Amino acid sequence: MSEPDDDLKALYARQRAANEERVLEFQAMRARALESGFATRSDKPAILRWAWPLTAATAVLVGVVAFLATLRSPTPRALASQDEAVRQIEQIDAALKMNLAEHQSITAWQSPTDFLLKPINTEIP
Amino acid sequence: MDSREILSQLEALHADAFGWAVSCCGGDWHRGEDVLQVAYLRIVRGAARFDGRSALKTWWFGVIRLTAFEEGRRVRRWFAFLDRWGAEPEETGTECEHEDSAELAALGTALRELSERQREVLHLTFYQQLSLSEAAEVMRVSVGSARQHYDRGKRRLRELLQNQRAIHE
Repeated sequence: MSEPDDDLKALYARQRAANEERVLEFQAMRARALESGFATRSDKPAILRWAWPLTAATAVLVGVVAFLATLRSPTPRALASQDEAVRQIEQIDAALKMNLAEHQSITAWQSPTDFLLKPINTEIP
Repeated sequence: MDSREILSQLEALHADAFGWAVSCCGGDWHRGEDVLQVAYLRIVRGAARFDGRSALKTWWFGVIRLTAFEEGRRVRRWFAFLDRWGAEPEETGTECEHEDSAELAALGTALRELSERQREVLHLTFYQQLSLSEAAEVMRVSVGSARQHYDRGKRRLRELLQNQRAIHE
């Protein structure tokens, strides 16, 4: 810097003096920084900042899924007595027999042209 | 250099650091304070560490400059948000409002007309009395580039100050 810069030097010196009147003490600013920093700001990595919300959201999701699962798979009703169990088995048996009889009538029916499908000379004498 | 030594040196540099923070915030004292506060917090939390590769002052001023840049970006985003919703942003404390000296007010106004680099290099050399190479280190530019900003900034600042004097006379 050369001598002709004295005007600027003087101006900046006045600006410096004005700023020095306003500056907070170092210890006060340090304390304020610590106070405000721990209260509001966070320089933690994003993953750490989101750890708690993510854990909470996962727990809620698991709870909802578990609740829905219990709704969709009701446990079979316990049978009241042995007589009731026997009656139910009989009902099932009767239904099966009816079903079989219906199928019997269908399988018994033969088409009039079925004989054409039989291979020749296969009858046992 | 241990942390206690760094702390005592930072304390010695505190007034200079405040001046630099205010300059990085375009002369806004309130924002300068906030920026310095956040910069201190970075050191406390270990987000900014002094590795001894440069002088403590240039390293510390670099941290403040970066913090001011990031905080400025955050403030601009906030103002853009307020603009979008038609709200009036809070008034900031600039030197113009607080200076009782007309000359200092004129300097503040003229400095805002300079480019960021010009304002930085002039502050670092005239206010902080750093050499051009130290200023270049803080600004993360070459010495040649710092010199160019210094010469152009000085010339432009004088022009602006003369214009203001002419208007007031």
